[in-house]
Amino acid sequence: MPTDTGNPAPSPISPTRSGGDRFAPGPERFVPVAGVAGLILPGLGHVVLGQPRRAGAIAAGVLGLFLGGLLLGGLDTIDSREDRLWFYVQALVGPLAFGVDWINQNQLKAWALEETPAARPVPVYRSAYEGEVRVRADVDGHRPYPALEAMPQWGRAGEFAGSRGAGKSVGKVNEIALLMCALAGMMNLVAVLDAAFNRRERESALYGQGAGS
Amino acid sequence: MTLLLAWRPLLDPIDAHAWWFLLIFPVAFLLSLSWKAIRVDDIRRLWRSVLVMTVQTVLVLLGLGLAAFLGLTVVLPILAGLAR
Repeated sequence: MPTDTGNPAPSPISPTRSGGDRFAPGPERFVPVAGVAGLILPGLGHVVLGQPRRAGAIAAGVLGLFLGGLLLGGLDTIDSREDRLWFYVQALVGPLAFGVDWINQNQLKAWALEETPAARPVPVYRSAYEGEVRVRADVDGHRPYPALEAMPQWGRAGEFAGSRGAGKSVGKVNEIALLMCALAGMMNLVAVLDAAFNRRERESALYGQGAGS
Repeated sequence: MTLLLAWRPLLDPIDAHAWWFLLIFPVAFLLSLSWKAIRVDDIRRLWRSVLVMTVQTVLVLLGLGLAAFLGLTVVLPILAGLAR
């Protein structure tokens, strides 16, 4: 578009940011398959786009944050019941987050009777605290659900065949573990959007064949 | 030693209550890695960009912590003294 001076007006979004740099982003293209792939597994969307190095770095960053959070706070960090708002963000990591939550809800948590000041003890489905053991229903047949019991003392361990319950993280450790998994979800959302609305060439075109190796 | 043997990865939380602040380094690094992996134009410059962003993140957080410390221990007592 010529201006009054006869010079072409600059485009609102320049296709190249540094004048002829072949690595600069080009025009945006919508690739929904890449976006969906990125939601299935962090980095997979960029593999679909032919950017395996970038995909590897994204996967390392997002999965590093997510698995680091799990290692720090335990699987209980992903909890769609007790930490629902956090889970909404953590779920952006994809099926991995839902799988961890399923394990937490079905394999680790159990029912416990919580004392209340005014009424009878109330059954609560929660994570195990330190010093509690998870007793499966098939072991303790008179109750129809897995339950949390106090850790057996010496000499009584044989009475309890259930697994020791997962410890629940508290304090700063819990906060940072939740934050790491939530950051992983948010960064994966950015990666998914970048994959779905991508502006970069295939790495084989930029760096030559074998760029992914 | 007993606590270490009893710790089960992914089931029990790590007892990091004494050194939780050191977790800023891996968090800043991994956050920088995932962000720069998306943003950097030439992927061969990734690690340099990640290093720079990691250092910047840690320094900014240290600065914020220092500012909060000075505000609470120096500025607020002065303001409280002026208000009397």
